[in-house]
Amino acid sequence: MHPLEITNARKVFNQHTAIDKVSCVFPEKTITAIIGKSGCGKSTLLKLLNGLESPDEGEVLFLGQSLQTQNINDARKKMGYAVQGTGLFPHLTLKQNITLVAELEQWSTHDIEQRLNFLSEIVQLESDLLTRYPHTVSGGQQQRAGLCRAMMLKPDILLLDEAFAAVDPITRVEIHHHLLALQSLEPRCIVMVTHDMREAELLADRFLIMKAGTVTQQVTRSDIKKQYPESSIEQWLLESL
Amino acid sequence: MRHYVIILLLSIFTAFTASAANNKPLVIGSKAFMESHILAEIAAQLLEHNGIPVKRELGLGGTLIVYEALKQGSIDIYPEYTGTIATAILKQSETSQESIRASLAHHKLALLAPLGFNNSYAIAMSKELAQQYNIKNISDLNQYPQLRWALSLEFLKRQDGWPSLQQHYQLTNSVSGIEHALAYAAIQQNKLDVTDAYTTDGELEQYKLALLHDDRDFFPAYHAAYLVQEDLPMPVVNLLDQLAGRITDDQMRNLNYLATQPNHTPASVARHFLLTEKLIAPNSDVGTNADTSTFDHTLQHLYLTLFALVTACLSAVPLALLTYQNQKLSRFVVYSTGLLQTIPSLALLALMIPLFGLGETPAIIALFLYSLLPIVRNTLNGLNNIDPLLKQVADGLGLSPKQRLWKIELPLAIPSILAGIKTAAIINIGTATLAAFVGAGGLGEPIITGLTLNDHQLVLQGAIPAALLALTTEFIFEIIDKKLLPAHLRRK
Ligand SMILES: Nc1ncnc2c1ncn2[C@@H]1O[C@H](COP(=O)(O)OP(=O)(O)OP(=O)(O)O)[C@@H](O)[C@H]1O
Ligand SMILES: [Mg+2]
Repeated sequence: MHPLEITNARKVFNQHTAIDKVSCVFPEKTITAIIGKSGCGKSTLLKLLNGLESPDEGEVLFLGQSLQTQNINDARKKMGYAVQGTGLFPHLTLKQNITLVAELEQWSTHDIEQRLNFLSEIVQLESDLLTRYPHTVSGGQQQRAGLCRAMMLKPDILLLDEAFAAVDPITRVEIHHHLLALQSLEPRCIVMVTHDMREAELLADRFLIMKAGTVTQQVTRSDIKKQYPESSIEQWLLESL
Repeated sequence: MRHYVIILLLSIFTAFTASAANNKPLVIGSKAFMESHILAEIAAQLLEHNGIPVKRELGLGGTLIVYEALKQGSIDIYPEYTGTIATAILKQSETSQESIRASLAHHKLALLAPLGFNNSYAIAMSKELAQQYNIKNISDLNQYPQLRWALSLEFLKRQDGWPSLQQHYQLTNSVSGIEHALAYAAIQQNKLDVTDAYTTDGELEQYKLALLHDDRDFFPAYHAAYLVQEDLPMPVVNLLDQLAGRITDDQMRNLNYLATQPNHTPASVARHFLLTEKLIAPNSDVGTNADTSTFDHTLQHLYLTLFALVTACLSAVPLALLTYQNQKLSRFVVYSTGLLQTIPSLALLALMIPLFGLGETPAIIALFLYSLLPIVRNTLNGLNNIDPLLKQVADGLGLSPKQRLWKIELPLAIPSILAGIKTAAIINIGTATLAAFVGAGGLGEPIITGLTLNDHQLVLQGAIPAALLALTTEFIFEIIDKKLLPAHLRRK
């Protein structure tokens, strides 16, 4: 059983079909990258997965159960979510942003501190930064905090929507390594939307190619390597768009 | 035995309530101008001298408010004019006393015997000029279209003012408008020849003005008389009837003039009148309402403002929170609270009197209603202007709608909400000065009394603390902002 599946999903926004008959699975301990041109429905697919949008047809299975039959807020707490531009709450310090959901879940202070220390160490957020407000730290530091916030509750699934798009390439590479470090310590099902083919190549085990609301290909890294031993993944991805 | 106890208790009870009813002072009202104050004082002192306890509600805000207060039972007696009763209150063209009395009876009100003088509109010019041209009647003015006219703005606009007068007397001169308070001085300085006046105006003498005879009976009669509750006790009616026909135009003009002189007040002038008319004895005590200090006025002002503000916050913020997700509903709330804002304050106060009588209640409710809009609108704005991405992220993190509201949306809306509350507070401090018009006290009391008595010092005793209150409020909100909000979230 895969932790996350979507079957036959369709989503229409005022006569525009954003997602059309999409079925795919997201396996455990695997990073899946969703690739596609702007407007092809990547963000919408991600929102269907965590219930921010509900499908007009088809369904999402989360931990083997239809998402519709679950308490959506509880389900979302088991799915981390981070978006481009971080979406950090401006009235909360970085620390408050990161620990907000854990506090709402009434974690003990000890558990919260421990988790916070663990995460901030991996993403290299110094503790003096944690007491500052988002607008006083750099974009890269904000992205790291956003990642920590999404991981706070040790979610089964992590959904990333161009979460690292807004930072410079060097910082981005640093964050990629943080993510991989986390994944090796706590392997989980990660679904990431990205425009950066190099990012996809570096991080992902599987690739979903989307075109105009449909998933046209689902391939693994090894599939590509087998079929096109001489081309790089990045190249292959660019060509398949 | 038990019967006796019950009867005893009952009789004690009835005796008690009966005496309580008897001891309840008669409430005497007046409008916020000198003559009304003096006439109210005359009635009050005459009754007090004869052992009848009275309470004064002087300086109420205009005909509508005093009359509504009388009808509602908050006051028992106030001086009014037959012309005003007919045209402004009963809205009837019939101005005879019989017809007025008949109409008042429907409202369980009565008009006592007129006091004598007629305080009507009149046309005034300098005595010297009138003599020079030999002008005695209004109709004589026809021959002198070159005379410079300026009329008070109210008279110029009223349908029964200048337009009708011009037609009635076939006047051909042109007119301009002038603030009434400036007109007499302008005539004295020979910048103006003719203006409108009140027949009992105390300043006519001082400025050496002549009143022209209304030879074609244009102006309706404004005979002063006490307008009272129909069931006023007979002894009280008899006492007040002693005043019937006692005050001539000249006498009233003098009393009005005297009251503007240093060391005189409406109360001292009333006492002077009653003494000369031998209606009270020289050794009689004059009761007045206990003097209230500026400090007490300020406290009362704060009480009115804060009470209204706190209740408005407690209703407006939840109202906005309950409706902000529904566009139609929230727009309806903004429109309806906005509609309340457009009702002029005196009209709103007058509307409230039939329901709540005089005093703090109508004032607080009016202030409460005026506070709703700024708080509702700012709360809604604050909530609706939050970046949609932040709401989406909050949902995505699994916050329940309630958690999203309390942890994210409300804190982000706080700066806007605070700004709304501050606006409401400042508006309230200003508007609360009108509370004095319905006998609710506060800093409006010295301001309005001061304006009535032409006592600038008294006006300042209200105006300065009111301005200081507004400044302090501004300051306090700045501190709250600083204490409550991180710098980057404060509104500039
Ligand atoms: N709430 C909405 N209402 C109406 N149309 C929407 C809505 N959300 C998305 N769409 C439309 O659905 C289509 C897919 O949008 P989506 O945001 O999923 O694209 P995307 O692949 O994430 O694009 P990008 O790479 O630019 O982020 C677009 O045409 C978009 O205009
Ligand atoms: Mg997108």
